[in-house]
Amino acid sequence: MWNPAKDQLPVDIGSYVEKGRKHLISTKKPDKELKLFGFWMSQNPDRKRPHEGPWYFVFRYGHQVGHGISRRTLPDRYFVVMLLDGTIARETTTPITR
Amino acid sequence: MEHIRVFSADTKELNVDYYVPTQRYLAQTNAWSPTVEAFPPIIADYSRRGIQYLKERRQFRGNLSLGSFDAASIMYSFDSQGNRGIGTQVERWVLNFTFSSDQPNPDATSETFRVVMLLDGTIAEQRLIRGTIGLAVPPGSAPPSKQ
Repeated sequence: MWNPAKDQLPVDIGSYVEKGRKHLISTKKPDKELKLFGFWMSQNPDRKRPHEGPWYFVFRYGHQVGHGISRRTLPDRYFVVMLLDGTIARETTTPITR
Repeated sequence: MEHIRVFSADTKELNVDYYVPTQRYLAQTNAWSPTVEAFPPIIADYSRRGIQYLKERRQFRGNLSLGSFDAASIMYSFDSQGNRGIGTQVERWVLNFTFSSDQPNPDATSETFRVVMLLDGTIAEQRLIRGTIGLAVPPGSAPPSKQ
């Protein structure tokens, strides 16, 4: 648990970024270098109970194309969800039902 | 002074843009290389600053606490004079804090409890394009204390 009103975040975010990147390399086998485009933190995905449950990260990675002034990015292609203790959430895919 | 947009909230109900001075955006203190540097330990401190900032500007009820936090890299291109245009792309990090209250605030909107900052703590100025942000303290009046 983490109380942002009282405590500093007790994790090294940079090491989690690298952990997430290695996880994606081993599971998704991307053909290009992965770059971090951002990360999100929240305590609970249920908006009716925003202050219950553990905090978690969602790290967003994508590919970088080119360099210098021609650099373009294709962000938000890969996500890694991680608890504050570094546990990586297992990804499952559910078909869209209409 | 030139300003640059670092975040935009555009929903059916409202449109709010967030701006910082361009010179602040360009400051090297707002760059972060995840593969080289540790992320600065600022989230808790900036969260408290964000709450104080909102207390001075909103007539909300209840105590605020951090609901979510987002850090995102954005990139703009600048020419050799430091003006927006074709030239060098400058990537910087923008922090987005969303707070929530322990009491209902019926007139609040999605932007009432948002504070956007650069990595160096520069707080972005809110510019309302469409709709109402909600619970704003009228200009010239002291912030109320409804804690």
